[in-house]
Amino acid sequence: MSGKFIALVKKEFIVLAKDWHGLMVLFLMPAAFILIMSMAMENAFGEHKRLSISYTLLNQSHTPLPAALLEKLNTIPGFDLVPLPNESTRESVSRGIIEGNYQLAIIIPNDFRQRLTTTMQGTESTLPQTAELLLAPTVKPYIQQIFTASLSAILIRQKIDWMLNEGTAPDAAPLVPQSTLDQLGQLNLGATHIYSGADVAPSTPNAVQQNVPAWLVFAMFFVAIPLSTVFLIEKQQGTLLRLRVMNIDAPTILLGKLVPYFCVNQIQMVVMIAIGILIVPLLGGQNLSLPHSMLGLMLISSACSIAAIGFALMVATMVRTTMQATTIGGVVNIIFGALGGIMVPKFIMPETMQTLTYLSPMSWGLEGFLDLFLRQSGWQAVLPEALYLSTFGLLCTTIAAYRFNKAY
Amino acid sequence: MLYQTIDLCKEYGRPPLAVLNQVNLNIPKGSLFGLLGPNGAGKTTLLSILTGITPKTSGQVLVNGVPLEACIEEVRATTGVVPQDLALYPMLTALDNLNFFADVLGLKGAKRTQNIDYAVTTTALNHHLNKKAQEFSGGLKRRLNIAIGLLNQPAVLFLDEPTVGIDPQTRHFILESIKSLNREGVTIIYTSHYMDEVQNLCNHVAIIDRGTILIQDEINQLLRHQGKNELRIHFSTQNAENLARQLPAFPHLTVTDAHTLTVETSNPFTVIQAISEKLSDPENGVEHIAYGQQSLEALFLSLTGSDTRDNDVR
Repeated sequence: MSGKFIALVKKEFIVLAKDWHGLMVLFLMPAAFILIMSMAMENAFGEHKRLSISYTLLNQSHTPLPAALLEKLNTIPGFDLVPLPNESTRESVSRGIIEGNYQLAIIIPNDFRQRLTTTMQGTESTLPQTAELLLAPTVKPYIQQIFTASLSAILIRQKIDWMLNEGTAPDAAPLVPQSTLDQLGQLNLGATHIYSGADVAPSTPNAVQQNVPAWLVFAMFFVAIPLSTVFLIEKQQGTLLRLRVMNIDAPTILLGKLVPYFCVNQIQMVVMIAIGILIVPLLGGQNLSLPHSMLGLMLISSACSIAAIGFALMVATMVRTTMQATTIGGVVNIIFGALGGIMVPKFIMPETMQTLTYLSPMSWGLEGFLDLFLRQSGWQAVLPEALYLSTFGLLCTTIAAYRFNKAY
Repeated sequence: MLYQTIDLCKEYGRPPLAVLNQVNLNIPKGSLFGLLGPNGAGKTTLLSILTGITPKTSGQVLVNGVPLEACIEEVRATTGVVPQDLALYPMLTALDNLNFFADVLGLKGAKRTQNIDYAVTTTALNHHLNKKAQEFSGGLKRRLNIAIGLLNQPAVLFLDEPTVGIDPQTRHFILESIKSLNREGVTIIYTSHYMDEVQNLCNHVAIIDRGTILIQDEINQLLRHQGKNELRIHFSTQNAENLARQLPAFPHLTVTDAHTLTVETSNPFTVIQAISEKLSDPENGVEHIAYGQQSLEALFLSLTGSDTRDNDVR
């Protein structure tokens, strides 16, 4: 039996090699998607990577602002201060926002110190306006909130300074020393990313880390089209019947198809990762960091391949014509892709849609690859996804074997 | 008997549709057995059951007196099947195809070389081995299809319409090869829609229609006992139908084709005398008149009817 199986596998390799046009599509299609989508989504992923908003500051008061205040305003994280020409006015600053020179502007009024240090009974709304904030309409609410919070903290620190040291001579030692004031404003709210690989430095998601695994999974499932088409052609030509007459059982015939396409899937993986590492950076994108666990990569890639080929075999045994195979294989793949976070990244989907992604086996494969590429997890982390994919693949193959056996 | 079926039935689908109904067939060892039937008669299903591809619904299939199920592995090892479809890999060369199927059959060493040589020689493919099958003519593809069926040097060879869509030369070559194989002792089970081909080639024949065997015997016996005598009048013009309307009403007069009239009779002279005036008219262009046994085709049509079969069941 092993000799017959080897003959089937060898024949499938020869047929695949002779159909190099079809084979190229399996590599060119995902490669093109990886390159295009990595470039196209670079900025979208960049926003998650680092905030970079420009703003300006117009001082209308007659006295220069304290150096400490200016220094703090200059260093609001994620916001870049754009200096203004000397003769700037509120109107010119507004024009600057409209022209897109900056997105935010702080207008300091001429009686800034007085307004800041005014204390009254009542609510905040009854206090005089300390400073005015001008915003471009494109500034998202969460950006406004971040900026307002940072600005408030800086102004409160200045208010404390002025109020506590009010009345002291300019050359006299302040009642409250500068260092104490600095300490008053100090607050360290540490933020820690939680990764499953505790000993590995966290990696920030970027476009290429999303797109390489996503389109690799899509390409792996895309073998459904050539595989089911070849299978149907062989069925129509009578070669499958001839093999059955020659005492080859259905599982051996199906396994003979599985092995060569499994190899194609693994080569796809190597090529797509190589594109992520070598080609995308050449085109200005970020490069792909290799996963920490190669065993994990092999596990998830093998499971993904089993699922993809099992699905392809099931399609092949359920349809009657090559047209049906191409249409059904293609449409189901696109639905799997859309639902599974291939075309639209899962993390930007609404919560309900994120839950629905679990219906797509492509989502299981993608999650497994993201565990490795983004979260740098160990092989244990991909075990659940590998299990789901393998179970799905084996279930599909069993259905295919049953239907094939019934047909012959 | 090599193959014997007893009350063989096959049903498909729900509600069950009987494709074979109480089929009792006897195929003698060493025969060149023609299995005839219109489209949808049940020939392909019957062949599928005999080759162990399709399970029967009821009845028995005996091979050398042993139930097929009990000796299926042995039967498959000694049986060659040449399906009607070109069951080969067009992208592979003829030799790659033969090598692949030899591997699948588990042929090794000298036996493998010998069997491939036998298949290649029988089908005269020697000069075409390194060409891709997709570059072959229809005739060469048919020959390669047969060569693959011969790879295990079968004792029984099933041929399902092996001469469809080929030129007369290739057809002649294939038919001669089949005769030669039969002379070597290979039992051949042959289906075709070409009646003249079957009449010239086969020594036994069975006619199946609507899942039932209508008749089976040695072909000579069959034509002698079942075939009626007939007078065939052949015209050089396509005037047979027009003339049939002018002739006195004979109960068994049929228009065989545009050039031929057939009258079933045991007394040809009476018929000739009655229509002599028409026959002697030079405008009708009588070419020749023949009297003898019905052809296999005429027998086939008389048994199965001349209506076209639009509701084919394979």
